[in-house]
Amino acid sequence: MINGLAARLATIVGQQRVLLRTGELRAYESDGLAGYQATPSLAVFPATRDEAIAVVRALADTKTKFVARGAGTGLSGGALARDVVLLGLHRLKRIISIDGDNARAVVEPGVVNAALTAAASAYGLHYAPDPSSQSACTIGGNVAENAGGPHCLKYGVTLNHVLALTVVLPGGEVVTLGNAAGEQTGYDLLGAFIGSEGCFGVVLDATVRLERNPQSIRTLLADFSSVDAAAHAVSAIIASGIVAAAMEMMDNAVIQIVEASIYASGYPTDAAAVLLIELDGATAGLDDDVARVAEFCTAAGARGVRIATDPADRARLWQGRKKAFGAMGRISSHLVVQDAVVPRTKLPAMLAEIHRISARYRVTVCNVFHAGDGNLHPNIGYDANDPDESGRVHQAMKEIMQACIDAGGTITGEHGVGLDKLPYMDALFTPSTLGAMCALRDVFDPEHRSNSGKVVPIHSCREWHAAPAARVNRS
Amino acid sequence: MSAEALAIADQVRSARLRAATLRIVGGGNWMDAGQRCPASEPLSLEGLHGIVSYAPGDLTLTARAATSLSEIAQVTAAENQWLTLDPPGSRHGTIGATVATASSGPLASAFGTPRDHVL
Repeated sequence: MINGLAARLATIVGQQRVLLRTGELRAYESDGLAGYQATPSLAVFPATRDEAIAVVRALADTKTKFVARGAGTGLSGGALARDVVLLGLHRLKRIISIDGDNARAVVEPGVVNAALTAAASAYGLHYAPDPSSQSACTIGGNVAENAGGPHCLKYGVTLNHVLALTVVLPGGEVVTLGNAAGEQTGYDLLGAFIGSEGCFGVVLDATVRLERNPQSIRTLLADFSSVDAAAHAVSAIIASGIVAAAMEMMDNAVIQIVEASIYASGYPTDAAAVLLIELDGATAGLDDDVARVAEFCTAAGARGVRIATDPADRARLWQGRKKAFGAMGRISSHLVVQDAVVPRTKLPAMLAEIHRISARYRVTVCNVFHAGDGNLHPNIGYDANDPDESGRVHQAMKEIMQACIDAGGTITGEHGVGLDKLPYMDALFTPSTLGAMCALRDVFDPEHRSNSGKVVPIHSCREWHAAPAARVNRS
Repeated sequence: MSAEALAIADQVRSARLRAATLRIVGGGNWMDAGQRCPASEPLSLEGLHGIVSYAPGDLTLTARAATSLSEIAQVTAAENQWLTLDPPGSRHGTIGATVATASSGPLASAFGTPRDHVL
């Protein structure tokens, strides 16, 4: 059967763009979270919008399950295709238009995030959401995951930067969600689609909002002798009303790893934590804000604050932060990358709790995260071939996630649920809420063929479909 | 869930069983909206009133649907903060109606629409 489908897809995209051999498919068995592997039954790579539509229609005709994939940099196992078709979209990489006057662009889903900003720079513009994987990740993947990044603290996440999408639904219909003028008329299907993790359809093009480049940028590196002091500095800055463009924290474990790598950024290796804070905007008044932020850091116990204005210095300070995950790859074979959010005011208490949990399970947590919006990324390096260590790592992560939920937070800030966070969905949402998610999915993908088995636990949907009469009495 | 919220859920459930149609009434400031509304009974949200929590350090506030924009403005002003939504109509309009209609005003060009502000 799969050979028949392969032959049909080859007539659309060409023989070379359909992969069937296990060896070739291995390249697509993981996303950025390499602890999970699943081999697709077939991989197909359309190059144009028409080819993509024809492929999705062929999959619909044959009732074939599929998973759309961009660059495969996701960190939740969301792009894994176990024994189903993998629909790779990285060849749809045209920037269709950039409208400098209205600060917007129309791009295909395979356009790399940083490539869009590079192209927009000719107009004095940039695309603000900047995930750490921005040099490789695609806009289509960003839309699917509602991706964030350090600068989303001030500028907002993907959701706030997409004006319209053309989407091919899993059934093969092509629909337009939102509109390029940014005015929402009718139901906000665009909002529902962004962050739907490939369960609602395949993006054919995205109209995105670009931001004007700020007149001036200042990057500060504040050096602390305790994590708690750094966390309190974050709270003080936020409460003051100064909106930083980014506010990132790295603890000593991360600093050591980064400084020992080719991404060394000159972070003080004896610091318990550093804060990387960026302020941008009109030059007038900016240095006053910089001075106030430096004062807040010093008052919270910072040993020193460095201020970089030169673009090369700023880029160097950012390099370690952006490449921290890559640097971690040097020290252990596997890495659990977590992504949880707590209210900003709970940050100091939560960091202390994470420290207690990691000590109890004898694991080393490296914290590198978006402190300004309470988006934690506790990471644990380990050896997946050691069952005892793996067990302790996963148990520690479970407790960290539960602690974040208990503190009024949530289980993902920007990486999505995918496969990795499925076990936590029941702890976060009521059965009725999960049921509503299942019902919404039915609207876009009634046959559950698009990235099936991700985001909402299958048992929730089964229960929802099994008991329509019981729903009336739920609250 | 509060008793008021449960009572509203009960009313919606009861309407479903009776196949009755409901018209949601928040502040009741703009009931005709230029459209005929054929609903058979009103669903008043009056009981869903007031600010549930406000964490100035987090820049977040939770309010029940029938809380007016002016009440939110008053509470946040005390902390030198504000909700950057200015939908048309009176400031006695409710946060529920603002969200339901995705209404925004001139401030949207700088700060975005309700969808950008609701967590």
